[in-house]
Amino acid sequence: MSFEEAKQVLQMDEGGQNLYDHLASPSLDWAKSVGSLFVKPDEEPAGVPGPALLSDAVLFEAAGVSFGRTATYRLHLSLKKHAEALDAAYEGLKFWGKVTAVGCDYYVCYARTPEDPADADPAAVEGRAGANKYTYWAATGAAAPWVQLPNVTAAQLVVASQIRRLLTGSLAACVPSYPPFPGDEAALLRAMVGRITAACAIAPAGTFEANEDGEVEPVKNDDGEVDAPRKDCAELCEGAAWAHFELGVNSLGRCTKLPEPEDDEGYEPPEGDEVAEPLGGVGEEEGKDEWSFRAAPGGAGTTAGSWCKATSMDWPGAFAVAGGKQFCNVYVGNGLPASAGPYSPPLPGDICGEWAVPEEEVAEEVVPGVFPSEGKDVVADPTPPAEEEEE
Amino acid sequence: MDINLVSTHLGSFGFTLAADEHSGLEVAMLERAGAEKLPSPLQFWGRVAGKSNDYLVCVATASGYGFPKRSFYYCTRDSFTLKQLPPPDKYAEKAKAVTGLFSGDPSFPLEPEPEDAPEAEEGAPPPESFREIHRLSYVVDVIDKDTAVAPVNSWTANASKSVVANKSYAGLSHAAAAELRNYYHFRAPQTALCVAAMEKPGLARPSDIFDPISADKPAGAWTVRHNEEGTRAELRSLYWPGFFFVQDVGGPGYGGVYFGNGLPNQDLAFAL
Repeated sequence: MSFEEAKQVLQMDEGGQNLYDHLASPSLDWAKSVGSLFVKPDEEPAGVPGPALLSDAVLFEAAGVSFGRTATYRLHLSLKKHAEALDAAYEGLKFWGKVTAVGCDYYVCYARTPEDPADADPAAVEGRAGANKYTYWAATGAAAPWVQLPNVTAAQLVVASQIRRLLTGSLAACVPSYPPFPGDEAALLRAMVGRITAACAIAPAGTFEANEDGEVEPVKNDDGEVDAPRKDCAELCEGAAWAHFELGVNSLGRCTKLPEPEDDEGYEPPEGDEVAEPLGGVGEEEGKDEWSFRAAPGGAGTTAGSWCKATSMDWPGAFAVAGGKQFCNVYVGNGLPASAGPYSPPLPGDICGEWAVPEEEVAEEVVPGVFPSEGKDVVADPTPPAEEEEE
Repeated sequence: MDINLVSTHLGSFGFTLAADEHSGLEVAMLERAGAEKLPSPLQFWGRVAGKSNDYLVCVATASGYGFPKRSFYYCTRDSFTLKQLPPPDKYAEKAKAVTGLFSGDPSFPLEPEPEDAPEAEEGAPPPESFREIHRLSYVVDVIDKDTAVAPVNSWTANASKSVVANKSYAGLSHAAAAELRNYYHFRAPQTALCVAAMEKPGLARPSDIFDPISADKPAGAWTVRHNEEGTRAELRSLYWPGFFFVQDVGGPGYGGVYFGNGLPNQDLAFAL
């Protein structure tokens, strides 16, 4: 094959791109796809309102988290486009943070789930009142599409807390681990994000309140507008000024209690089926849920209106920033919690017992050297008629 | 990393210096480099997070015979006066045994005060004991030896065997920048081959005198990839989460930073 022929093969168009252009100018594909974000649409698009990433980015930067000035704007454009294409039933699309993987990084955003998952066992998959309160999307960059992450199950949350794996960068990758993780990398990412949200979503106390149904909602004033309390920096730099506003995950991987079976009167909930009260204080438990609070700017530049930056000691990379009436949470990290010592995987379960003759059958005495005779065939109807239901 | 690159080159890393840290360090670095008459400007090394305060660390690299001498300076956000870190080896054994997060106070004692200490004379300085500053010095030294990276040809050994920055370094191509074998440990050579190349009289190729990072154990402890735009290549250490190195494609700009809590990922074998 001559050089020209090889060039022709590489230049064959596949889905608007060809390998030759890609190899010759690697940034071209990226520039083309991101360039389309900058085109102003002719009509005002529908969908959910765009996220407040640009104003939140000011708070992130005070906490030392930044995706770069220009990249943050591209991320804003990408999120806005995603919001416009979204079903209007989703509420309040927000940027969540970034989880780093080996091959690439996942930017994550979320919105309030409109409906409980259909055809799911409520004991295994919680609805929008529990762990699946939010629907999450992940994208590997401003040019990449936002991929919806699956609903998280209780089993996934439990196993995710027992393993320590870094993400590979492909959402379809399998998760080889012990205990086996029930799902692919998208599910693991969803479980990581869910655990971090449950542990690290904190806001100045008084920003949220629980309504009659026990749901956590922003405090509103008499006119029905969201009204957060105004706090100054010195006040916010004490842990008592903060409160969690998402439900914690218990040892069964749930945010709410297990549904009680309707027909069982003597139902005993399994061990660990307890949920903490919503809006719990920060750092109340000794040695757990530890946060460190700093003024930003610190040192000589602190004023009453400065931001306060809260850093989680349990989840390196989780931050909350607040000041005045504003606050935001952000995460940048590899999705793993801090560990007190070296990790050791959980021990395998008990070994299966050897096969043995069931006890009832032993009753017939076995005489050595005598071959046991065959018993009579038992003739039974394999499909007995169903018992008539009482009405 | 040149502190001017912090605001432009760390976008895909996610961490940066807040305005007060960046601004305070600019002043403090100029002041320290001027006061000590350093031959080259100080470089920003990283931020080690503690419970109540963070340490900002800078490094000076002075070329001489053999590998350049690296001296580290630190400050906290309360003062922005850079002070030199004590030598790392004096309390290395004790520092190795300390686990957990830094407190953020350089004078935080890490061993109980001896009870039968003789009465100090009035006005005499108290006897030196193992404090957090010594642990910081040890940890910074370990992280630097493990993670400080130089792309191939950016530093070279001249005929008198002093390692000097290559003034005509032109960067790496797009493909070469994403190859782990083009990056080397920027530390005094430790493998026998590199030590021998350094001691041999005459010129040595730059790739012969530095330990390659691609040989680091466990395999997969480093990741290298292009950024989203394809204009830079990024290295991350998975053993030291928080270390980030960036190299411009087709340009001489490069630098590494560490933004972490000073603890390695001991569970890497399970995590990959």
